[in-house]
Amino acid sequence: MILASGYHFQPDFIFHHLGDLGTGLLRTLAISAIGMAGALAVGVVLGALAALRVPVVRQLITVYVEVFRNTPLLVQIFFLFFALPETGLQLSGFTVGWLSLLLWGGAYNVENFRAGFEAVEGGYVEACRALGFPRMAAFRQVALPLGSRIALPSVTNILISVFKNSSFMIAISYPELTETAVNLVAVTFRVFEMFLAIGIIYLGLVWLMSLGTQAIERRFAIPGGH
Amino acid sequence: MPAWVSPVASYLAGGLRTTALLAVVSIVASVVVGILLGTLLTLPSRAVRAVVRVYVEIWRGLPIIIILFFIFFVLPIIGIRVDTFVAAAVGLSLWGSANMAEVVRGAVQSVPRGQAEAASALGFSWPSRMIHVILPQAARRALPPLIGLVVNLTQQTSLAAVIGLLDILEASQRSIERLTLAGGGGHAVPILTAVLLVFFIICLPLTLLSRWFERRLQ
Amino acid sequence: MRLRFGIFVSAAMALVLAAGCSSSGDDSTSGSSGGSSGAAAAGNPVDVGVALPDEVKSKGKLAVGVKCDYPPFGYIDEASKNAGFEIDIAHQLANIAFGDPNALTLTCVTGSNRVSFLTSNRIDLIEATMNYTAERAQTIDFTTPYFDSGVKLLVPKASSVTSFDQLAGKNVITITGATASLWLTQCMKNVKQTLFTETSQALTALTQKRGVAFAQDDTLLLDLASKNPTLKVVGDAKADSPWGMGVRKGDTAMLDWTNAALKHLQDSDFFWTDFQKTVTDKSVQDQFAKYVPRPGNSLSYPSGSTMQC
Repeated sequence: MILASGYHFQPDFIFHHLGDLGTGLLRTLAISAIGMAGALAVGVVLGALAALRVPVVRQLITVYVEVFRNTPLLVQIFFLFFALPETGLQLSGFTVGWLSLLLWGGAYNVENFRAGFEAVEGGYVEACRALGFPRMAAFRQVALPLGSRIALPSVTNILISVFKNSSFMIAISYPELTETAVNLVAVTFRVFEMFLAIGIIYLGLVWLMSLGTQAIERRFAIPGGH
Repeated sequence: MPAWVSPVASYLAGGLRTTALLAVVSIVASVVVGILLGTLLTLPSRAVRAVVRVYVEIWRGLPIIIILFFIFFVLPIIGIRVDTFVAAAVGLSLWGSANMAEVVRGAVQSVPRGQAEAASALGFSWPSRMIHVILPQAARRALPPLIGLVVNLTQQTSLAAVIGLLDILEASQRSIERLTLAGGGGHAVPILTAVLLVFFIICLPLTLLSRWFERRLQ
Repeated sequence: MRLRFGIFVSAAMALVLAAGCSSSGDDSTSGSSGGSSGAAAAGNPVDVGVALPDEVKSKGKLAVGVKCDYPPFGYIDEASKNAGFEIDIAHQLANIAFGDPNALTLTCVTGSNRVSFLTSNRIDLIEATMNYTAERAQTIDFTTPYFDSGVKLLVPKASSVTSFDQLAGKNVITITGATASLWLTQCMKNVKQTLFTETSQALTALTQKRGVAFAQDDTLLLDLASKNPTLKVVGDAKADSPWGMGVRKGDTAMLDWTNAALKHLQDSDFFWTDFQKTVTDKSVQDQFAKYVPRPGNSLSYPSGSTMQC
């Protein structure tokens, strides 16, 4: 197939490099999986602490959340990789990969979970406490399960963004899927085939994740809506 | 103040102007196109919804970096060539408009069904139902996520550095490059901190505004 | 109004920087030499016997992809302007084309994206420290050569690494798409490459010990070592090959014009005059003198593969 300006489209080129792309994809999945799991954990724990209004801790959490939500992830990545070593802390590309995703996604998830918990805190938890439940028990047994279910759609959105944003690691030349493709283009010049291939891979995985999370959201939706 | 600061500062300021222009253009285009598409997503016509859905799912599903590379390096092969700024603006707007469409659809659908049914029973047609009943309420609900999207787009402009646009991030990279190669070394911390601070100062008030609107809705 | 806004933003940025830089005290005194324009005043186009291609002529400017991280050949100077040996050549080409050394659009490219910039029509010409290789010649057309370099190693002064053989099994820092990376991929499969896109990133990575050596063109490494007293250049030059400019495959009009223009510059001994201006170190000048095209000293591409292991 020949495109305008004489570019020869060679689909078999993609198949010759499936191995390289596979290695890159594995790295993408590794940093994304750690980043997503961490962002979820950070979100629940710090979100709960923020909703429970633990003094000092709550202010510290606010600082963390606002710093990471109000600055670009790409600059955060540059900072962790290139600037931190100047202060004596050197992290590998892999570590910066999952850590930056975890910190970024975590900041958004803290907000998501906090909002979810606080939405419940008002009505149900007050009711529980009126019935004589201690505060922590009321939180654990009512706010945590109900609040998490309220937060679920926005949380899963962020987790999918974490996966997509793993492509930002191109900035520090960590050879995940996008960087692998760019490196192959640099040597082989097959720009069309390469970006078509990884575009399909990313879209496919994102759609798969959306389908999965939609199923989970339906399963855990609060009956009667909220 | 060390001697290297002032040339770097004026270089970053030039980059900041490009960043600001890119953000404004992408935000306006995303909001306008997004509102249009989002409204189409609430139309009764299944065919229209399906077409818009495909657009939304593709541009929301792809990492922005891939969209930018595609517009910048791949489209010229089939004869569509735009300069770096336009490529960045188009890429961000494709992503932003798809997200805006979802914001609008979500806001419209969050207006309880009963209201549309009641208006329908009172004899309102679909357009006047939308204009007089649904959209005014949806607009209030859409405001917090809309501001969130504005913050997000402002931050995502930094990705234009990946295709070589001389925005504030690229300007900082080139400054660090120049100082490092001149044998100075060790300027990444102050320069990148400055870039982080600039984004923080722009985005924090917007984030707080969004939260204030959210609180007011409850 | 515009100007005032600019001053305001600059001042604000300076404040922000000053606030953020309290930890870093050392002033860098950049050692870049002049020669930023070094070109004649605007006048008439120079007739080199071959007509400038119509596409370029109608744009009124020559679009050239250059390095911005490769001193003293192509880099950004203290005034944030493109500068260096290759930049001076680009100004001369613009002068020949339009009679105006500034009828030029310079785009910063890297080893990994320069060919994509050319094939996507964003630039007319690659002039970015590109060694001739048979593989590259299959995708783009090379003009006549204007310089030459081989691959060597930049290592810390205290390093025990003295040759390529000692790199087996180690992490080596390289630049994506650069000749050094291609050579290592082909000839030393047991070397683990840590790839970066820009020189400063690679240099920073070397000082952070993310690899035992930085493999790159000897021309660049000599410059880096001269500015960083803690580093030294070692190894025999590998993959030695001349640098050519690149034009789109089959674009004979552009190729012929560029070659004619380069011949004109060679005949007027521009390359050597300018090289002495941009590379001030006398010993480096002598070392590379034979790689600069002069009247009576033409460079040529090797007939076989440049990737000799």
